[in-house]
Amino acid sequence: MTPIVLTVAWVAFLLGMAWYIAVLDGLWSAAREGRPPRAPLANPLYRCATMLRQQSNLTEAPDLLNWRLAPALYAGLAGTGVALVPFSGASVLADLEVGIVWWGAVEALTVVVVFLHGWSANSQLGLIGAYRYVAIGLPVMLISMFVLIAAALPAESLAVPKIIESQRELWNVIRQPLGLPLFLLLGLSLSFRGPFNYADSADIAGGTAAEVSGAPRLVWEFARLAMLTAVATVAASVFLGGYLGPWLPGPVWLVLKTAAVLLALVGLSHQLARISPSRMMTLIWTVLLPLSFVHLVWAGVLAL
Amino acid sequence: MLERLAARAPVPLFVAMGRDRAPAVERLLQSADIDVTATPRHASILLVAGRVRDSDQAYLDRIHDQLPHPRATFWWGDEQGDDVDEAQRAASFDDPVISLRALYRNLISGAHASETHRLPDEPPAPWRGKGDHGQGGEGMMGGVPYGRMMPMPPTPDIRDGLALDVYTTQIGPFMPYWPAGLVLEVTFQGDVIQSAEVVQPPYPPRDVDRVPFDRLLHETTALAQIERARAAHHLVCIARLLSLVGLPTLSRRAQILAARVRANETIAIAPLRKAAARSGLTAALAPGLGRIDDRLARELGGPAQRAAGHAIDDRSDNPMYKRLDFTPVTQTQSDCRARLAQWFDEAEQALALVSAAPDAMIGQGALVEAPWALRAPPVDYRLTELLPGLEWSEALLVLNSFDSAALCRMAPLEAP
Repeated sequence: MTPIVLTVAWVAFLLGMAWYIAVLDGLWSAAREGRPPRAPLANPLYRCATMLRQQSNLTEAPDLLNWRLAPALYAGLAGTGVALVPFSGASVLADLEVGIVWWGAVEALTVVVVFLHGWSANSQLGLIGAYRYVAIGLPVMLISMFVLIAAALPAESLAVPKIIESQRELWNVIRQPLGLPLFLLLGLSLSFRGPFNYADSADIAGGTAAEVSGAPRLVWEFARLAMLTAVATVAASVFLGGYLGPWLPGPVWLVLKTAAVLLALVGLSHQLARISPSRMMTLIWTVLLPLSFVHLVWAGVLAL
Repeated sequence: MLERLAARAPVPLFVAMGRDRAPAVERLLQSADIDVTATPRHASILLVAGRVRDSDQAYLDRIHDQLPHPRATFWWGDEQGDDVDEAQRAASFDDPVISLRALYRNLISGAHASETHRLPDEPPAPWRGKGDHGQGGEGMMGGVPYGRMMPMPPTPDIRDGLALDVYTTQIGPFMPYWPAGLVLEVTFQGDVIQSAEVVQPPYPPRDVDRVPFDRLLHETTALAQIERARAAHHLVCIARLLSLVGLPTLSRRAQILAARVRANETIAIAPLRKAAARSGLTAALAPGLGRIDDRLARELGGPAQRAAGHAIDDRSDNPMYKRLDFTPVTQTQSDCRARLAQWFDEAEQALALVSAAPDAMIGQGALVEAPWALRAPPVDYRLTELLPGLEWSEALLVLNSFDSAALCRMAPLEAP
């Protein structure tokens, strides 16, 4: 594929998957509430139009530059995450030898960008959301790094295409069974959804997004969906063999696997209750992080 | 094009909950055409539901001015809105969804003019930041701007001793998942509450919940009505906690059940309880969170007292309930978990009583336990003593684990 075709595919993938998640959210909520869904396919578009029609408000003395930049940076980070993943053996937008390291940078910078979004509005509830996000986001990032290094061991490479190729015989989800579940937690944390929604939850009136309205809010909400897409795409590639699969073309396999991972992520975000931030921190540091380390040792022994 | 699409979206609504309108608002929220927002910044219409106190007016104006343009206010069952446009109010007994949709469509198309600021749009004092982006400057530490209380010097955190700036802010009376009407002045360090003071008390228990109990004073009343009111009250309390632990869909299910109980439909609570348990509702409430001592539990009475293990319930002495072999359910731990379990148990028991004796009548003037804490004088224990040391999310869980009567008794500042 030419770079232009790849770029168009990349944009279409991000937009299409964001719409897909929004539709899934609507359907899942309606099913759980036991009522028929309201215009399930078009509702996300209506909501986008509502946000675009609203004024972009200002708060009292915000750090305007950072406040406006944060949503765009967040969306940009999600976009670079998706760019690392090949649609097929020969088509990848960013063919990096150190793709996994790049993804680690995406995770780390997400913590910075979300904090910036909450902090720069100059409001208390946004700041609480920002504090909480940093407290939870940092340790979750460590888990994800252990898990990804484990996935890179059989491939003996940090490049995403090589990790996919190393799964021709056996997918990593079978070889390293703890990897995918732990990585899905990262997905919920990076886009702050459901049990990991500490940044933008309703108990702090929308948290880091409590003060933002209009187009900047639309970008922010899109970026959350795009980041979830990025996580699902990386998960589909690193644990489920990405574009590998019989009969269908590679890109179709990638889309199908990403859609399946997103379904699991949306389900988890609707089905699980959220515990208080301090208890979640204890759970991460004392249970999940040691578990991810055991997982890494296991993968290392297997790779020897 | 944009306008046409936007007009089809669910109406983004921020609810300022006044007195007595809560059950009607709960019905409204079940409409898929309404999208209740957690912050006024995301809403296009401000719904003022029921009466607000004079002292709440300034808070209401501030909320109003935070709505982005185009915006409008809709008054529902509130005499204060009598002088406004017909399109912007509904009587308390109307179903306002159609009016709200029409108002929203006109707002989006420009047919209804956006409302201007109610308060002057100017900072209360000049900004004194000196940096390129308005940062820094004298008296600007901790991000607390000019014209407000200066932050105190960094003090040791009560959780881990780490020195942090503290900041003080007022919360309420229209914050979502917050007891309606309550205003607290809270001092934070990070997201941990250092101290809290009551500025305004919460609204007392809602009239609609009291109807059968008040009626009993004057006439013979059906046991089914009394017990249905109890189940509905408890389901609404449960719904608030479900929202707070990040289960908004189950919360809506609980509210729908409450509305159906009030409409005399036969419902089962067990599926909701099972779904909530499977989602980890109990795990989301830390054991021991919000535990109150025995003396306070006894003084509060009602479900809070029974959640502490005291089988005290006025129904035990009533001949009709005795005939039905009524024994009060209790818990032991007296914390948020116990109070939640108590609401579930009592709601299930209430519906079991209804199905056991659908036609039973309770004689006029009989003593029957209300669904909430006793309406006795204030207790000498303050709500504000329960909150320091808690994270914000825990504090909200603790507040919402009490019914409004219990909160009124623990936050006893007379409304002006």
